[in-house]
Amino acid sequence: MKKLHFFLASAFLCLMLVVPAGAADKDTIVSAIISTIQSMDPAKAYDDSSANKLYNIYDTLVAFKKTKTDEFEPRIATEIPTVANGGISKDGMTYTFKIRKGVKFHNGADLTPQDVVYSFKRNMITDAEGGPMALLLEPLTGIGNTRKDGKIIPGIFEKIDNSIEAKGDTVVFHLPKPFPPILGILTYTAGAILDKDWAIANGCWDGNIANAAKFNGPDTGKEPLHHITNGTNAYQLKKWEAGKEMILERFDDHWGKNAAFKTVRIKIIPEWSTRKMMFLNGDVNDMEIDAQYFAEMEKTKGIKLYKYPQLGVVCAMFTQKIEMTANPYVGSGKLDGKGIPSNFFADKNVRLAFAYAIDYKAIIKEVANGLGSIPANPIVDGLPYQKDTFHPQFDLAKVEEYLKKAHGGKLWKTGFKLTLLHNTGREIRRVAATMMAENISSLNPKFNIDVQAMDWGEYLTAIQQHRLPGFVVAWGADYPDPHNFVYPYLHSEGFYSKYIGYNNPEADKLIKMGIETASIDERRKIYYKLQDIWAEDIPGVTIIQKLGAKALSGHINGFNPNPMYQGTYTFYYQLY
Amino acid sequence: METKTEHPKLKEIKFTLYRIFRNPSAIIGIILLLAFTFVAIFAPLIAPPKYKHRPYMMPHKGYSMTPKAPNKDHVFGTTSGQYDIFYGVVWGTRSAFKVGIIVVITAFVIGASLGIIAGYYGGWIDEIIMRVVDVFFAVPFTILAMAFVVRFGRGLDQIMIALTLVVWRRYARVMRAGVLSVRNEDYILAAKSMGVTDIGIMLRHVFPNAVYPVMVIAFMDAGSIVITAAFLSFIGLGAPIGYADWGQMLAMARNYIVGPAGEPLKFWYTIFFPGTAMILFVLAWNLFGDAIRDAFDPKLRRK
Amino acid sequence: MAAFIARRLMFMVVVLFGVSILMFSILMSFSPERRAAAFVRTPQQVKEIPNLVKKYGLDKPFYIQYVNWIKQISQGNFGYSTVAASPTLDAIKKYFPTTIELNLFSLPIIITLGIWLGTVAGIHRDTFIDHTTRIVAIIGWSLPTFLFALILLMIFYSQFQLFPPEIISNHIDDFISNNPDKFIQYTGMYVIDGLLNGNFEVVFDALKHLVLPVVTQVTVVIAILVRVMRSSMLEEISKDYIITAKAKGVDTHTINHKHAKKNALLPAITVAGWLVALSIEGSVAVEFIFNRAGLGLLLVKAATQLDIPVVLAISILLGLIYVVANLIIDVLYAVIDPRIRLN
Repeated sequence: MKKLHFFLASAFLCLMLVVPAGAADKDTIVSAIISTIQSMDPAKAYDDSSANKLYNIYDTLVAFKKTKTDEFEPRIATEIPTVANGGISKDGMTYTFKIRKGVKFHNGADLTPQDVVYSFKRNMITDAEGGPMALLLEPLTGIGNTRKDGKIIPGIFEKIDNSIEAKGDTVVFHLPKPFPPILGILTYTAGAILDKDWAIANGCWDGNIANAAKFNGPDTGKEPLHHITNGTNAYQLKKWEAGKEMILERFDDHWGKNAAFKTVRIKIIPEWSTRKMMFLNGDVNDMEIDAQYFAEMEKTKGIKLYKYPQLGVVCAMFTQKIEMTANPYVGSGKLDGKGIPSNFFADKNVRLAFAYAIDYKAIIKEVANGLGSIPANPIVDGLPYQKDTFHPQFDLAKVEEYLKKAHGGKLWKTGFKLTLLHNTGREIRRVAATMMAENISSLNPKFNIDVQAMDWGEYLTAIQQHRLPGFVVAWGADYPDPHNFVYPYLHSEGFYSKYIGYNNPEADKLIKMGIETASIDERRKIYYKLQDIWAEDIPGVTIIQKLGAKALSGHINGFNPNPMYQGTYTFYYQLY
Repeated sequence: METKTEHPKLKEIKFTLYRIFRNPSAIIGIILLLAFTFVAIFAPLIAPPKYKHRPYMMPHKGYSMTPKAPNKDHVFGTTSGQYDIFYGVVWGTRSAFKVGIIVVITAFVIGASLGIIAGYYGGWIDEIIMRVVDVFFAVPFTILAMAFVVRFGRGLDQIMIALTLVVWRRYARVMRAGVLSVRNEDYILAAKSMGVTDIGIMLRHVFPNAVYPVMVIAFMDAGSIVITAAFLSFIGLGAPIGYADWGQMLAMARNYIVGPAGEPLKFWYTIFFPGTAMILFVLAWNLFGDAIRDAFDPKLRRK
Repeated sequence: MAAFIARRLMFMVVVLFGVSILMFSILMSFSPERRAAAFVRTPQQVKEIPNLVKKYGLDKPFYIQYVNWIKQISQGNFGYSTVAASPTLDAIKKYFPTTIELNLFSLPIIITLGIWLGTVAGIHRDTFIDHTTRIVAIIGWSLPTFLFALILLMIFYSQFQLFPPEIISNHIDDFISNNPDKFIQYTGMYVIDGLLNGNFEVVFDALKHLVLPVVTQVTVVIAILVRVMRSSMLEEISKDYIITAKAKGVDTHTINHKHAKKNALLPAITVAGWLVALSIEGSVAVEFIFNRAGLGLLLVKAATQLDIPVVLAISILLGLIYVVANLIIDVLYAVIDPRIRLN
């Protein structure tokens, strides 16, 4: 009996061995991503995994031109509005888009200017929690939200209703104030064009502005378009098993050139080793690679590798007003050698000392394997109005000099103890924090700096509570304009600057002027000045502007690396 | 009385030792354990720490992510982040003992006390304690440990607390079963009738006679706990990066387990040294535990 | 017997209730902001945290949150999972078959092989066979699962391209999703569905994907059973009736395998529940490395990203499985050994 079992089992095994391990299908692209695709609702999707898929399913009015971030190509609009062609009014407050004709949705319906108007209104009205709609609400209504403290802001829906209208074959946007980067924002999936009838039939806003409140802020996962799509772009959603895989299939009635690959299969493979083996075996055709593995992949034959700059920046930030109650990261909470006071980093000497303690070149060379550069300030290379400003270089003598000057010379005598933080799984951030800790601790036995990792959620919460003395964070562009970078880093209400207690009224004033000015020359002056303020105040220090890296199977052509899109992004319809 | 019992006890110990050393796998286990103990005790001499106040942080030269093969300066090579593997393996021995022994002893104290109390008193005390144990038992080991670690935060100390809170449940259950089997023995009843206090009976009579199965489990756990801790490190809930802990070292090298195309074993040393140390450590405790079981089991020893 | 089962069922409810309180109190003792942060992906969204706390009532007292949660659960609502981007219950329904399938293959192998090895080791105590079996089993047990799995993958997938990771090949997956009428997914387990549909290509493909995970799991889990079976066998063959039988000249092989083994199996059954728990736990690391979308993979992602609804739901589900498995074992045991019922 037992022998029979054994025989059957062996026969079975042999049978399986002769079946070849599935040959790669040339009409399919298999794409490996790391994190879960969160939502297919354009009013909710704000993570890279989701946005990238939406780009392939939905169309926007305009898109970035291949590898450019300052030139656009028309999608649903037939031309890019400019002041010269009358698409943009002289005051920069009215934008007119001519809408393409003969565009079909995946369900066969025709696209009309009414669909465009409805889509923008519907997405803004929905404004799902944690969604991207603030990007459009800010330029179109002047208010970045539909809700404040969980309550709907009175009159916001009327503002939305008045901001956009259809006129004949065109759609007109009315801005309350000029907002120069708006074309860049319109490329984002927050401006995805939906089919009005289909959307209403599936439970979206019914088109009546009086009913808007009912459709605002749906519960997470209950967004009406969470798992269904009906776009006009070259791929349609065939199957989505959330958290596992997604399959896109070519839409043959696409208004433009049809996609070359029939099927796109997107898999979530979190473990790098597994992902790499599958890529090398041809079971995965498209994936992002971390800088640290770029060199090893370069040796592989028959694959295509891309590296390209990213509009993003990693910064070390120093909290000038630390929340001290029950804070485990500040030691005793006093300048007594066993801790730090709340205003430890308010002294510019201390910030400078920490900034000089990072070996920037070593980070670029060793951790990022050369895939990056040191930006002088948060307005990184590739953004308009960028200029070089003062940036500290690694110099232990300078660290010592500034620490001796800090807190009236007391710091050097008494010493201090604090914890620097970074979030888990980010090597550059960890190394930068470790460098500051080790280099400064090496100067004086009384200096005691610990480094600690936190998971992302905990990290964000602690930053928001002003509890972290020093931390390393990153920012990626929502749209390619300096405003998107100076606001979080320099405005008193900006994401990082607010939580480190940075408040410079002049910076606030300049930032407001910068975004409300249409003139290029005026804006240049403003952003130059803001960059000088950053260099002068040193609220934090920029560490690296990374290059994105991507690997594609050798037989796939046509990938356009764009600094707005990280290595996870692929516009599958451009490939052939 | 004392002198009379002395002699058979000595005989017993001799017999036990004979039983243990008759078993070759036990000898392997003991030799391995002695070797690890030696390394752990003399770690500061074998691999002098670079940071005196934080000896468990592995020294690193440079920051490069790509591991470097064994060479003159780093006999075992360096792992991702240029941490010295030799140093990590040596000091990791201490971490392993620390985690294994502290967790097991703490859990043993908690579990065994609750088990004795439950078994000895019986009734509603027993009912309450054992239902709590049942609840803890119903959640699989790793999952309960993961939940506790998520709660307490990352780090080796947190892992130790979390594992203690999971491991005790088994000791309580096994201890209680042992107590139940001796509770109504004559010598216990005799002690009771002589007016010995409950605590006295539990410590002097119940505990020594019921403890052996718990001890066997504890010996084996001292090894296997290190694996669970390693898995927690692997999924990113473990000790900080750079901490001399075998599990953390495997986690740091995880992306180099599979080398580049064409040289799949290029970074073998990043896994081989900490991995071997870990396997041998667990093996040692298990062989030792197995031998103890064989030697002490009253049902088997004389056969 | 009926009273025995009724008592055990009561006990089961009490334990599950306890599990829910235990897990809830572990995970709900995070600050409200911390739990709200699980919904947040980018720095841009952080300003939403206070709103989320209010909206989901995360700052309410513990018992109110617990009661609300129990109410939700009783309506089949286990909350929304961010790592699976769907309601938790849907996610578990989708992920669970994969885990069951893996264990459906590994458990029988573990049990038959484990009992056999344990018996042999027990009979030949202190011989070469005994030591080898034990050492090999212990090495398997000492191997970190993730490491072993990666090494297997490196050899059998990277080098020889035999056994791929994941659950099913792309072309089979395409076939299944393109032909919902020709291939009906009864269980979500590909091998069984393949057999039910009479489609052996699917069966073979699914089996090919199962080889390495099953090997890993068997190697890691089997040691427990070998050890229990061995000592139970040792105890049995040292009993008087066996010794008597041997003295009477009954064939040793018959005694060992027919009589001793049968009786030695009894104590081994007591660890069966533990074995199920271990096996499911083993799936966590296996699924992670082989990228099999099962409960284990879901759990790792959920635990590292603090997706509380998933961690809670999985612990309770596994608790339920464990308790039910133990109930079945107890009943079996009571049937086999009537002395148990008297207690």
